[in-house]
Amino acid sequence: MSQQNAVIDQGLAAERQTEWSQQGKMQTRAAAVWNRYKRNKFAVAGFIVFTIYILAAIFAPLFSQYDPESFDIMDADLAPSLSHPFGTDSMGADVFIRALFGARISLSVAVIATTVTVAFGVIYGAVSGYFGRAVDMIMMRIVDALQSIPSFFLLLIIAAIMVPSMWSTIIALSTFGWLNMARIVRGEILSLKERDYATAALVTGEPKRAIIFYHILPNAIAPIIVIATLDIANNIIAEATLSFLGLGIQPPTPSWGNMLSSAQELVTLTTYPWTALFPGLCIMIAVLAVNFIGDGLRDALDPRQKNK
Amino acid sequence: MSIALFEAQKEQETKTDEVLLSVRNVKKYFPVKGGLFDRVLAHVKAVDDVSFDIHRGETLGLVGESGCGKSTIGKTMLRILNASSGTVEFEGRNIFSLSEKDMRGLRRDMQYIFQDPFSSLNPRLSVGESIARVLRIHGMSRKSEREHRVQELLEMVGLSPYHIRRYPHEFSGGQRQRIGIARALALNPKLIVLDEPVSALDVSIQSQIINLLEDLQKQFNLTYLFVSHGLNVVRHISSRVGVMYLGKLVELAETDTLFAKPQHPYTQALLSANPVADPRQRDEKKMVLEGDVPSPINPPSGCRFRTRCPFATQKCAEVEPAFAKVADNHFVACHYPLN
Amino acid sequence: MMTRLQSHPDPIVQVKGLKTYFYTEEGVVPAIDGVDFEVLRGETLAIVGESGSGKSVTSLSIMRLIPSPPGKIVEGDITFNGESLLTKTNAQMRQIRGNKISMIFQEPMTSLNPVYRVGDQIAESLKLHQGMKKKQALKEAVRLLELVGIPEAERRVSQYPHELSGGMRQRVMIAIALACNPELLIADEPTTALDVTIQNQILHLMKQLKEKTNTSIILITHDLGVVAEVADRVVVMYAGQVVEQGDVYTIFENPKHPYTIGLLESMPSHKKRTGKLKTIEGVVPNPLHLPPGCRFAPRCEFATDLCRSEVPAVITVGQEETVRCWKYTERWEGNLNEHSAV
Repeated sequence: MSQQNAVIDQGLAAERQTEWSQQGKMQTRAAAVWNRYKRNKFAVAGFIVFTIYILAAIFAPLFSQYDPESFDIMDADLAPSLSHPFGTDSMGADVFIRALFGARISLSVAVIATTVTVAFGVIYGAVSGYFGRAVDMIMMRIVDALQSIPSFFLLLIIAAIMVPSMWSTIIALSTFGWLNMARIVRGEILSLKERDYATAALVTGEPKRAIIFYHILPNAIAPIIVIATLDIANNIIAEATLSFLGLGIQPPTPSWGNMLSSAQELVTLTTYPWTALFPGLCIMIAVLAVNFIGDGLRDALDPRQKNK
Repeated sequence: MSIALFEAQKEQETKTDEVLLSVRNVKKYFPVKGGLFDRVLAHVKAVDDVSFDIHRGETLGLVGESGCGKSTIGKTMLRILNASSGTVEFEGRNIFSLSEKDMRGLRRDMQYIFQDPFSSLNPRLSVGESIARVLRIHGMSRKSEREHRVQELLEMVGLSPYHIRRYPHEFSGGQRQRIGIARALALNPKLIVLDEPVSALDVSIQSQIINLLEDLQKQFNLTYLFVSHGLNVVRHISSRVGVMYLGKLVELAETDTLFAKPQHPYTQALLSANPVADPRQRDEKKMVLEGDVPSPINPPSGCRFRTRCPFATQKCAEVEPAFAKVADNHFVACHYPLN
Repeated sequence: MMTRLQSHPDPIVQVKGLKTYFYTEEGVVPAIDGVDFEVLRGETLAIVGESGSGKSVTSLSIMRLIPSPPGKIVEGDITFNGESLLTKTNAQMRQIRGNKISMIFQEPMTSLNPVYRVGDQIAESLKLHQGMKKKQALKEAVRLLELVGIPEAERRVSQYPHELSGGMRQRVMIAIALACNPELLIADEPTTALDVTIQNQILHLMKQLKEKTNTSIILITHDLGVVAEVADRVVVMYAGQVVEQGDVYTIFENPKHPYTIGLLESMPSHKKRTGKLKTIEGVVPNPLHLPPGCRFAPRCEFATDLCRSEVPAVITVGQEETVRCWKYTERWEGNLNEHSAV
């Protein structure tokens, strides 16, 4: 009897307690993250800009009064004007339209390559970190070995062996892109698996696989998301570099990199600067936007950064 | 009424002598690595040849200072850590020789409660998810059934059913410890290892949790291994108490005997050092131990306590004292037990 | 109604009506809300309370170490040897800290700088405040280490913190704190991180030092066992206020405030095993949403409508004791003696 009463009393006390924690912060986790994210003005700007990029890339065909891959030599090298806001290039194609369609290619390459590297890097790092000992030792020495190779040089070789296309570019970028992610995830897992809740999962009879993927990995989501956004930025630049060198996307298919490439001659640069300026700006702004998003997410996903 | 209940429980304690779990010659050495290729340079002898039994329905207290191996033995017993040697038999089965799969099945009988209520709950799972997860692993497949059981468990530990959708960060330390207890109870375990379950809590919350643990023990006939450095708490809750020093069990006796007539000099020093909440007793002569606990990497020869023991002789340095029976239910590892 | 303790002729520290608030995004946290007490010369005053009681903020306020923002001392005064500490400049405070008032903390590992030798860290304070030369300061450091009971002090001065055990490091912290013969030593949970036998050594040392040096000590702790061991007088805090203060024997043998009584009764007895432990139900109130009346009322078994609606004043009972509770006023209905049994 009295025992039951005591339990009810404790329950009531507990209710009082949660009442105030409710008033204190009645927020879901996602709302709290968004609130912290909002405080960083650069991050918000980055988010808006990147959204515009994605929308523009998706709806590119709606804007195109010109065909990005057709050109009219009569219209070559026109300065920016109302009918050609970014001007035209030496082949007479509209730079604005090419930049729009270039965004489709460049962003797709970056996003797909990043997806591949994130998936592989996370799994590799998680397995290495959780199993530890010999498994970890071997897996991490492989990462060390791959990282010690000058990766850009290898990127060039891979791109050179394959017939250059969008997919060859993605494969080239994915081959080495996962190393950093694997390393960071492994470090996170190593520290998270010592937490009591991971031990608690073991004690309640969870299989190892479930402990890694259900209990530990979701708690490493913050650094994974941050690294992933930075990877997107890196991949945008890497794609541009490969295409600029002629090993990536091949003309006439437009990408920001090969647009720069076709404008690389000094004469073109000095006489018709818009042909290089606009694709260059596209790359720069996209990379900046993604980097700002990454910075913002890093702070927003850290629960220790309280809602000030 | 509570006194009567307590007496009844005490009687019950003395009645059940059935061994639920027996620890035999368990050693747990942690390698100390270093050098160029992570060579093993030495071993930390965290638990070094410890044997004892836990009887069904009792609370065995395990006390000692940090680094004495009391938590390590609790973790080794549940195979959270792999023992270096020795056996642990639970209901007659050697759990060290079970396959991982069989061990996972056995885990429903042996649970663990952590010291830190803040780190023992997955911050990304709601209270309901945390507990229901345990039920699902062990075969409760219907969602409605799980939900019902979770609510039942929350009420059992003094929380409200509507807490089910809350996340750990929304609770106070004491409430989190209740959630940890509910999770451990989910599978109707027979044995629970409690690793400093109240040390991280405020004084006024500690007694709430201790009462809860005692109530649950009575209700479900649970067996506890209660690991703690808090002597008063251990004395209150335990039927028998073991004292550890530097990886060894040095004394094991029934609680009242141990506190009234400790036979190992270390036990005596420990009890004497325990601050008493009575200012009138402050000037009573205390046994102040000199020096620090030696390194468990290279423990003293013979009796490990001899470097700090006021009664040590040459024999103590040469011969390691056996863990011997000095009276009924009373074991001491000392060449010169006090009387 | 509002009666104060009679002031002692020459207290070393006087805290008068102190309010220290923290201004956070969620609201104002009154970490200390109208606290009065005195520290007499040569005594050990224990400030007891649970987490959130304001005991550590009190000591930081005396040291003027409240992080600002978000913290601010909004009202009241703290005097040291009769001079207000709140009007001192930062430069003057630096002269007082570590020299006249020094402090030791709970975690001795993090309060020692890992890259300097132990002896240099003690000597630093001596050079700074006493203007000693290096050689002389190191010699003094050895003497201090011997004073706090560190064996082979000559060898220890040239060791680094990580080479010492936890108990040794706490002794070094005490040696640093004592380096300049402070008049007041504030010890914030000095033994909480230590084992029982080591705690015993440190408490023993603190008792000895008090006899030798006549330093006044403020001991901040949650452990009533430690209080009973070393304190002369006790201040009990709850939710930012002093609920009771008195000499150590009165507090342990004849406590007045229901919170103090509850705390003492909820501890497992050292004398005999009893049945169920008494408990104080519920939890400490959220500092952002404090109850309107007595802050302990939601957890108090004696609480009436009066307690829940009006804040009780601090009243003097007996000779040297104060308590903040309606039960001991004339406005309390019913017989007080009936409830105040211990």
